[in-house]
Formats: sequence, structure tokens, C-alpha cells
Amino acid sequence: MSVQSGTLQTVRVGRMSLWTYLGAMWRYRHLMFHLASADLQSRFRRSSLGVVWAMIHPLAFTVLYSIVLANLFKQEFTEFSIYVFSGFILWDAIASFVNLGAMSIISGAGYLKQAPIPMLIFPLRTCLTISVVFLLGLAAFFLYRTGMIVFFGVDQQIATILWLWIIPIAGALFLLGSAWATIVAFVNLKYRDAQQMLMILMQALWFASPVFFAREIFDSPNLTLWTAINPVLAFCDVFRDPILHGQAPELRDWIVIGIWTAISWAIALVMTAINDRKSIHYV
Amino acid sequence: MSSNVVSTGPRIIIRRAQLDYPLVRDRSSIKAALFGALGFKTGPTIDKKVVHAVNSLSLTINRGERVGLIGHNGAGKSTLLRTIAGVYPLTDGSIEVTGRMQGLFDLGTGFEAEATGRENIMYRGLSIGFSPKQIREREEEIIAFADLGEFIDLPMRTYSAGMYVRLGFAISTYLEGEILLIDEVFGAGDANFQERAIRRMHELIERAGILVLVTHDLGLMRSLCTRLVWMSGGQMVLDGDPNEVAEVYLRSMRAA
Repeated sequence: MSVQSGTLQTVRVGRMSLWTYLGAMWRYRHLMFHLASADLQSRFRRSSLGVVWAMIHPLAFTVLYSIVLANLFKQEFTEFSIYVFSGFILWDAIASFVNLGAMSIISGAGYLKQAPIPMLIFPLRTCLTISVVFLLGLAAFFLYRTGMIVFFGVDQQIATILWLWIIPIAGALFLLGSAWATIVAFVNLKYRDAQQMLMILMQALWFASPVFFAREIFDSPNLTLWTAINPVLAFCDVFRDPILHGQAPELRDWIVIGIWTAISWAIALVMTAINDRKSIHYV
Repeated sequence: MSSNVVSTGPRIIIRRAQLDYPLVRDRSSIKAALFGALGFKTGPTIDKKVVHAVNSLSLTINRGERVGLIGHNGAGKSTLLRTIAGVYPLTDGSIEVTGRMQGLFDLGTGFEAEATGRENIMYRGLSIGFSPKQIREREEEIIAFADLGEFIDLPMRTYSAGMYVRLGFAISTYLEGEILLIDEVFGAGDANFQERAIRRMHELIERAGILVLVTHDLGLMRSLCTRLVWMSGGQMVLDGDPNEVAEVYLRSMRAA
């Protein structure tokens, strides 16, 4: 079939190849970035402090939680609050990937019903927004920790070369988070009770991870297997090692994250291949 | 009729297109799926009812043709239009499209309510496959045609339903395609806007290579189309000259 130069030709027969799909994703990349930026703008529009809220929010929660928990666990407030802050921003991102990711394709219905946009664009749009909020939280964390070191004499270094680990950590977080967001988005399309169940599941995961709870608890012999495979724990470790403990993240934790990411993306891609466009009737 | 014409411009070739979709979508549950996957029966089995929205339909549309789809509600007209656009997936058969398509469906949806009209021109333009540069080039024309005054820089949640449709119409018709797919969008806005919209449609149709139109307004069909396709139950009943097909269709309606 000859195609005139300058004209588009599309042939549609059931499923498309991964390569064609990636090509379509590339064509719609501008839409993804523009919608992510629209999400960020609408999140802080009409508020006088605007984007600063993304920094105040984790700060306020940290102070609140730390006052209660430091008393409960008999910990020094200053140092403990830094631990809580680091856990909070990390957990907020992970929980958002799942909870907001579940609605990501449904919320793109208006666009998906107009044109053959790859559905995968929409979980990625949500994850981009979450990642920016995570980076703003990280900036707030850096300021807070510096304040604690300078004014309250917390014995940590303000910044070292180890902080560069933040780049691969944020990248890995986005990779795993976007795979999870994609999976739950497709599941939630067909089974709307999924979102409710996920919220409970995430709460359980929170309890089973050193987000606010002390890391030592998870070294208990009863928890050996869980500690070895828990992806949230691995993320807490790779994140806190360079920033709080002045050491490079351990390879073991990267392996756990790598395996989770590979499996999650394999599932996410299979689900996309099976469901993209077929599930438009459920949107 | 015209399918034997050798065409070099935009073209649509539909071969035995089949589109089925599930009816029991709201009754599927995680429980049923999990137990089903494990081989357990979960209560009385629900028949997997499917609707054959498009049923083994073949159709070739060549450059210069303006095709109107008629038929009762649920005949599969809108579904066929969206299937050509790639919104709905084929269950079987194939659709081959040469040329840039532009669909005008659901003009009131696909907007970010918190964003301004101006910002939404960008989002909607991107969602129908244009580049940021192409959209910026046409932005002022779109704003002029939508005629929303200062509302263009206000969040769209402050718009009336008519204003949504006006903006949607302006975006979709100023970012043109060689193939226009239009589904019942003529009832938009007030009388003044409708008049401008119809005039705009005529201009577009003059330039577009192919038009596929769904509307219940047979008078409009006769004035715009060069060919009518009558659909029923997802299948083609009759295909031909607008006046002839419309006459047979109306006769059958009266007989029913």
C-alpha cells in the first residue's frame, strides 16, 4: 500500500505491537506533561501560598506526629522528627502512586473517549505530579533538617556528596510507582471495589514498614522474610542511608527494589497490552 | 458506487469490521474474578452478554465523499464513527485510514475545569494529536470564533454548558483534519452561534477530503451528504444516493 508523503496512515486490526504503542506514547508526550502541570497548578490555584503548601504540609504533619510519637516511644524530639519527616515524604509518594494511580485512567475519560490516546499516558501523568510534590517535600525536608542541625545541635552533616544518591532514588521511586499506578489503574477500571481494598492494603503496608516506626523493630527474627522482601523498607533504607546515616545505600536494598520494579513493570505492560482500548467500555 | 474510483487522497477502508462489547460490566466483582480464576463457581453464572455494536460491516469511503449514517438509536452509527477514529477497538476485521482524522464527539467533555479556556485549548488540541506549535498558531482564531470575551482567561468551571460546547466546537474545527467525523454536534449554543457553526461546517466540508456525519436531521444530511448509509443492528441495510436511501428509510419507518 503506497502512502502519500505528508499523510498519515493507520491500519487497525486488534492489538498493536509494543513498538507501535511506544510510538503513540511519544506522539502524546506533550499531552502528558501539560496535564501533569495542569494538575499541579489546579492543586495550588486560588491559594495565596500556592506551591509552598507542598512544603508546609509534610512539615506540619512531621511536627504533629513527632510530638505524639516522640513522647510515646521516649525519643529525642529533634532527631526523631528528622526520621519521621524522611519517612513521611517517602510514604506520601508511595501511597499516592497507589491511591491516586487507581483513579488515573478513569479521570482521563474525557480525553480517552475523544481520540486514540494510549491509556498508559494517564498513570504516568499522575506519577509525574506526585514526583514533583515529592521533590518539593524533599526541599522542605532539607530546610527542616538544616534548621535542626544549626539551631538545635542535631549531630548530622548538613550536606555531603552522598546526597547525590537522591537522583537515582527519585528515579527508582518513579519507576516502581508508575508500574504500580498502571496496574491499579487497570484493575480499578473493571473492579471499582479495588480502590477501597487498596486503601486498606496500603494502611497495612504502612504498619508493616519503618515509615515512622524504628528500623530496629524489623530486624526481629520473626520478621526476617518480610524484611528481606518488603519494597517499602528497601526504599526507606536506600533513602535514609545516605541522608541520615552518612553511608551509601546497600546493594541488597537496590536488588530488592530492582526485582520489584522488573516484576511490576512486566505485569503493568501485560495488563496494558491486554486492556488498552479494550477497556474503554469500562471508562 | 464510488468504491471503484482509484483515490490518492484521504481514504477509509473498512473490511468486515466487528465490534462487540460486554453488557455486564457493572456486575463483575473481584470476588467473582478471583474465585473464577481458582476454578470455583461463584453462584449462578452470569451469561457473558455482548452487544454486536458493529457487525461484520464493510465500507470504503474515498476522497471527496460526504457520508451520512442514518438509523435508529442503537443502530451502531456513533459506535462506528468512534471505531473509525480509533477510540473503540475492533474485535475482528480491519480499518485502514489514510489521512489525518478529526473527530467532533462529546464537545462538552475532556476539559480541565480548574484551568482557563485558553489553557484548555492547549490540552484539548494536544489530546486530538496536534503539536504545541500548531495549537499556538491557531489559538487566536479559536478564541475569536468561540467568542467568550474575558471568560477565555477564567477557569472553565465558571462556564455555562453552551460556552463549553462553543469552545469545544471552535477547537475541533480550527485544528482541521482531512477526514472529519462528526456526531450530532449541531444543537450547540444559541441561535446566533448555531448559524455560525453551520456556516463553519460548510467551509470545513468544502476543504475536508472526507466527511462522515451522524445526525438525526435528515434535511441537513440531504444538504450536506453525497452518500447515505443506513445502519441497523450494527449492519449496513442500504448504501447509496442520499435522496433514495432517505426515502426508503422513511418508508420503512412509516411501515413499522
